[in-house]
Amino acid sequence: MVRPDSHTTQSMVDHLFRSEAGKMTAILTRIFGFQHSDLIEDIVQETFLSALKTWPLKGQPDNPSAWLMQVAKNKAINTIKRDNRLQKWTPEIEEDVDRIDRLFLDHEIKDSQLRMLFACCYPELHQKQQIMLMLKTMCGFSNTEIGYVLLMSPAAVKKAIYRAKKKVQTFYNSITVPVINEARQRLETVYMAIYLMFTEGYKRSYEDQVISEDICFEAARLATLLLDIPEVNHGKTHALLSLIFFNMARFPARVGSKGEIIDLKLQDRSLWNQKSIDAGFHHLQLSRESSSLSRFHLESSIASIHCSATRYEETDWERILYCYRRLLQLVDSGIIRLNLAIVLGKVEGPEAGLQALEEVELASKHMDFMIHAAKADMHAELGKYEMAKSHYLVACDMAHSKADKHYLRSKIEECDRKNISDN
Amino acid sequence: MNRYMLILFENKGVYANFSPEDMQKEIALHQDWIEELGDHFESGDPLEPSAKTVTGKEKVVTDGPYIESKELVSGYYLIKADSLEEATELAKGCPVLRLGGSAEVRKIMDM
Repeated sequence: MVRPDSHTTQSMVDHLFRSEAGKMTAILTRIFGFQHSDLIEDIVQETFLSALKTWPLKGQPDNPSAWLMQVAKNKAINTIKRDNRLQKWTPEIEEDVDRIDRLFLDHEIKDSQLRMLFACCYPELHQKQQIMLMLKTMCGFSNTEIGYVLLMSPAAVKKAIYRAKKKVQTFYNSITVPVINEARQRLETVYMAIYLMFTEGYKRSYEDQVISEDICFEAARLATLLLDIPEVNHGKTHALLSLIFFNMARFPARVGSKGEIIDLKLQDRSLWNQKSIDAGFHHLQLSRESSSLSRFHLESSIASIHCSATRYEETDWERILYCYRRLLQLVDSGIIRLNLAIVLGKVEGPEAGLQALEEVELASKHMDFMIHAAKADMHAELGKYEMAKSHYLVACDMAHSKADKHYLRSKIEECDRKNISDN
Repeated sequence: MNRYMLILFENKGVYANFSPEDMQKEIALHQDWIEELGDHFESGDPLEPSAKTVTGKEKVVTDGPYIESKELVSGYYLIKADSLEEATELAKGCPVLRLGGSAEVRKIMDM
């Protein structure tokens, strides 16, 4: 027997199993239907178990992905042969086997994944359910992993996914129209679901960089699937991909060695991931094929401006301000107004910023700690450390996450030190 | 060097709640361990969980390996070592132990 090659461990693509689980689930769902999701999960699990049992001893296959698909296919066929109640299409087992064979072909795999993606984004599901279903069925996340990301208990995740699957079941089975018609009608829902999946990952990046990177990568992978839909303008898809890659690029610099949050101003920009920035620009370029400007276009432009500045002082705040103003015309939200006010403070000075923040506060009832943190920053910039401190204190009180609280406490201490040195 | 068989016992369903990511990491652990064994590693095979057991003169056939046991033989490794002590020491690195499994180390008779 040939000794397993020691270099194969490294050659295995990161998180290969996650995407493979998504592929298998998508195909198996087309074979067995949504109602047999337990059976599908078992087949996927057994396929990975076969890999676990044989790869270390026999060496990793040259094409791990093809190996896994082959094993999953055989298991699916055996399952149908064992239980003829599962024979869906015809009474002839041979014809079913033929059909299964065809579903495991490359273009069908993509098609199955797209169908699954649209099923996960069924408009009757609320957005959190859509994200959970995508993570579960398309990205191979366990209930525990999903719960960790969305701050829910695994049991609550399990229940929510069960309910979501029930809802989607009848809908999925009725997808008989070609996927392209589906796509046109519901692309917006899918865009939003992927975008929100990305923001969930982004939010967690201060606490757990590994899991948040995984989520962002998966969001990018799902967005990439959309590029396979023919006859659709992909400009917006590229804009979404661009903003994901630009924002991910900063992850390595956003957290210090002790897990503390590091301001954009103080980040070591040499730590920004250049590959990710390049991917951002690549998709930014391609996003221009759109006929209309979307929020993704503007958000990716903003991110690109940050990534283009080699030093914080070189940031082109005026262009960012322009983008935020256009963005506000498209999407009127408190968080965009808040960011616009902060950027205004950079362009026109802290007084103007503070005034804008007052207006934001008056306009929206539910403001979180960020508005107080922003006010505090501007007071600090004006040298009013007492005022700054009191706003940081309020912000700290309102913040939920440990990392945010820790960050704000360090800001309070900074105000105290500066106050003393000024007097 | 002598040859030893490591007979691996694993709990039933130990991987049931593993996510694909966990599975991939588990594979890497096994690969790393085999790499670490280096020249001590000879071969090995996994075993399917389904089985029949034939017992006694009556040749009674039952399904599965001893059903009453929580653990079942999940595979074996053949390794080379100078002594039982060394083989045992090597067996301590086996990843199945982390998950509550066990490994029986037996010297292969040299005639």
